[in-house]
Amino acid sequence: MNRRKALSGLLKTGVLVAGAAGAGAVAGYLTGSVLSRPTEVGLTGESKPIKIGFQVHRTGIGAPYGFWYERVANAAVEYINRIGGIAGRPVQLIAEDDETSPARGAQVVERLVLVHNVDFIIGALFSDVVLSSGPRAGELKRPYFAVSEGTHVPFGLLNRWCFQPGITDVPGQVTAIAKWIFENLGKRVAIIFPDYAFGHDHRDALTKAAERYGARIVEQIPIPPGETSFTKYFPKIPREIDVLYHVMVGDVLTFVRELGVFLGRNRPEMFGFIDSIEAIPLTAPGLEFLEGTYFWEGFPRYLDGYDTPYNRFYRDVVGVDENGADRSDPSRVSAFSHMFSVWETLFVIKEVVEQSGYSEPNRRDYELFVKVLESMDWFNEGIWHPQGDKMFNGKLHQSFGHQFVSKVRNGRLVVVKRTEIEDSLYEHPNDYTAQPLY
Amino acid sequence: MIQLEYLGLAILDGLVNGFSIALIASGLTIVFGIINIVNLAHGELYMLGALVSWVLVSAGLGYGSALIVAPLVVSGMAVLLNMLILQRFGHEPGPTMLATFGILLIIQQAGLAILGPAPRAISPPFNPPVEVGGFSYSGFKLFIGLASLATCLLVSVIFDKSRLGTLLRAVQENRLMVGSLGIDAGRVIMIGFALAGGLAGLAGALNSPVRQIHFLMGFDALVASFVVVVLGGMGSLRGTLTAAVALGLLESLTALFLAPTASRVVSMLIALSYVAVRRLGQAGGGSRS
Amino acid sequence: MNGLARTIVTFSIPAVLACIYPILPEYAKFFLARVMILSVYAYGYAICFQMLGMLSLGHAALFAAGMYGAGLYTIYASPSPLSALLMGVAAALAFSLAMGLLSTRVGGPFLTITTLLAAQALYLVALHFNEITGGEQGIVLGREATLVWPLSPWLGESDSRYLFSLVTLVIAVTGVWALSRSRLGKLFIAVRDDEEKLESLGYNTATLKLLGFALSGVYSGTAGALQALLYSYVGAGYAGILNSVEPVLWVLVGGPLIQVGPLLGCMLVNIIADLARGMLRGHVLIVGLGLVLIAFAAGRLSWAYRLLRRSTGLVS
Repeated sequence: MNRRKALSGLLKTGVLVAGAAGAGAVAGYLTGSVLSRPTEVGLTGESKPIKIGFQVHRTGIGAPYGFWYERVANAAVEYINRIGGIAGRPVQLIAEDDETSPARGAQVVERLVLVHNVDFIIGALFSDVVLSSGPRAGELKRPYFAVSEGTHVPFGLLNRWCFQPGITDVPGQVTAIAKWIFENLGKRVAIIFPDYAFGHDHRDALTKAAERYGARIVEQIPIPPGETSFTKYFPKIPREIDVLYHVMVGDVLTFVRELGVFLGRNRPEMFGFIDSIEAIPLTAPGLEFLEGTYFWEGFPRYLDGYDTPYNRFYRDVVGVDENGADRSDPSRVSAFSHMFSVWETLFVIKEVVEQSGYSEPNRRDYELFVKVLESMDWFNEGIWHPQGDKMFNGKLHQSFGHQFVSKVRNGRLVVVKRTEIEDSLYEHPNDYTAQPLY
Repeated sequence: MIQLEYLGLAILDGLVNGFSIALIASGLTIVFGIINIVNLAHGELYMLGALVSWVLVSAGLGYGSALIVAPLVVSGMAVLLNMLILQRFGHEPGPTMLATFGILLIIQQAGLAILGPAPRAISPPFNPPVEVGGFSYSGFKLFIGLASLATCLLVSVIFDKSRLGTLLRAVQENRLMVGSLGIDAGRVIMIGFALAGGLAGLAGALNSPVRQIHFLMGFDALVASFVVVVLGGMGSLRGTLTAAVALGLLESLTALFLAPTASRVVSMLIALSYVAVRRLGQAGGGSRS
Repeated sequence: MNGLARTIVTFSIPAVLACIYPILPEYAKFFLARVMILSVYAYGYAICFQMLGMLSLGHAALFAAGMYGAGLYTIYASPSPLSALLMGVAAALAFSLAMGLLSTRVGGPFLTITTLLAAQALYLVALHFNEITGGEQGIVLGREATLVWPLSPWLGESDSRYLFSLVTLVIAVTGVWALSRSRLGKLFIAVRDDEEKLESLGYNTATLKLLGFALSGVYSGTAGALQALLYSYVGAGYAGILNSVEPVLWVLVGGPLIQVGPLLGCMLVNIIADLARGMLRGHVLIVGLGLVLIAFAAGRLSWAYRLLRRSTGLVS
């Protein structure tokens, strides 16, 4: 064996490969910004468009939500452009997939800011993606609008550049409906929830509310993320409870169906967050046992639950029928309780840009923009806010709004209660306005 | 908290889960046995089985047809993958692993395109609640467990007794020698892929009425099967079955006594110590196998 | 001559990265800075997989150990980034020794499975103690805890990150280059190629393997700690199985030369993914197709075959 020859051959390949890679890297990056053609929706008008970046869960575990979020965003942008854009400028939506992954999410924020130079970013739903993206947005000085319901925005885990005006947060939601649960369903509660931030927010808020109203959380059953078989955890549900409170994401359908089989006919009262069956038709096989149970809804899936002209208009534009399903495919149920957040966030941006006179992504304009947004305290119900009016807390960067309690009756959700905004308020010492913007 | 009255349920559920994992893993074992490569796309074949079932049932063809058609379609798919891609580089491990990971992503995205992002469901053809010790269990899951067990046993008998089994085992042990005996190793490998695909497709079809049919369901199945394939001693069908059942029981029993996440940790650690004891207990310990 | 050529090849990519720095667009700086840190992880993985022939599927745990060591120290002890970095590396070293003690001894496919199980266990432990670790959603580190914070008065965000990552990369590459020339590196390769012979010559191969695994852990943990300290986020997602599979792909794509392969593979895979993300909706699909194509291109390389045959412990 001619070792030397083999080695030099190896080296030749190495040099070639290394050189090619170096050249490739440069070429890749110089052409990268040219080649990049993200999905764009918008006008090609005379004036320079306002660019809104959109970090979307197209793939990964968040995909059922991402699909609808993107559809709502596209519909809203189309509508905004039809009525004259934002401050007379067309809106361009730049959506990129974050794979529902914190690592990719942070990268997408960098791409949106540095490759596309977007004016604003509409962020993610899943907490891990929001938490890894928020710091990047803060560092790159770009307003980041979370649509995640998580506590990380209001509780001050992020920074002054992160906002959540488009959807209420979990503590607000739970605070509002807990009283109803304890008064109408019973005071001994077991809670079954996903073992991460979103689930813990539920657990913590419900525990706090239970203290206030003299109810008792008898058992907490956290389910590890990524679990696909649930029956083994159900024996932990105590028999002597009044209410089983459930909320799940991920393998939701298996969860709900196994729960149904386990509980059988002698189930306690059940109160679930719609997340357990979001984007899934109630007629799906195995969900019959949910008949007579209760759900929180952010925005009722069935039109008759909250029939307003704004709701009808919103459904029309987005292409959702009165049962909350896709107009062109009724088996495709929407993430109706959550996806309005994208719509409303876009209109918050429109309103604040128009009021503040924002025009360019520079320090002066962002200072104006943030100041005006933080001074907002109310969003009126209307086409821009079809879910209902909202109170905005500029220190927490968080909206507070109405919540719905629905009962499953004849395989549909029937609203039995709409809470007041005051019911969802809570105190928190966080104050983002005390942080420097630059 | 100890709830001994649920011991029966935990054992039953552990067994059923174990049997169904064993069925998914058996295909992985077979392919591993003949080409010494973990087919990373195997979980996606399982997902395809469920997907085909959903398509058929949605088209009104009935669940029975899914049980027959899904294994055939997925088996064909596995053969195609082998023929068009994996065979091209002689199943060399490096490229094969890369390619199977690429195929994993491709099939997953195809699943997303066909199923849509939201989970889908089909009804079990029958599902009498079975009363076991004061609680009810899904009759159809019981059926899945039994059917999976029966299939695993059948395949393992085929391996031990039939000429096909002998050939597969021969390729597993020494591919070169098989060639010199005038047997077409390529064809035997093809049959192995067909069998593995068929088993994955059957597992997908069997599980589709009780699980959510979703484009991401394959990856979890892959990880679970990989664990039992190795614990079962790489390439051994009966070892895989034993390991799957042991792991299924372990997971559901620990879940009775511990907090959910902690119980998963403990079952991982027990599996780890099992490997340690078994391997390090052998004289010499080292990695010479 | 050969030694010189090899050295030139080794440092060519870092040199190119240093030269093109002034003309890089802003995003490319951020992107390449990220990839350089990941490349350190790739090198760490290559020491274990490519040099010693051990196919680990649990390196995400070593990456995460570094990340948690640094991140948790920052949050609960002191926001000093340099001591946090040391804590991260120490945590990864400790974890890799513990994991290596078991898995390098069981060897072959059992090494693969024990590393996989240990990593899953760490992931679940991080979830279980989420009051402390932040679990799946993770924790955000304060601005003052990041490594670029002290540099930012002089350099911009992107420049300080890029230069910091480049220096780290050069140190990592130099380490691997020195290792591959050293007696220890040759012994590592000998363990991979003919363990029995080495043993018969009186070497303690068990210690060598453990040493290699620990060194690999230090590299991976450094990458994890830097990831936390440069990007202010610590989360259990990084301990997940996908983060263990990625370095296998990078090393396989990168080719046989350990001094450049990991960096090359890591860059190539990430660039494909990033370009695809910008160009098309279904970028995951493109990455899948890309991997299949690379597999075809690499189909003739027998080095990977030998390596995997040894590491899976089954010779046909």
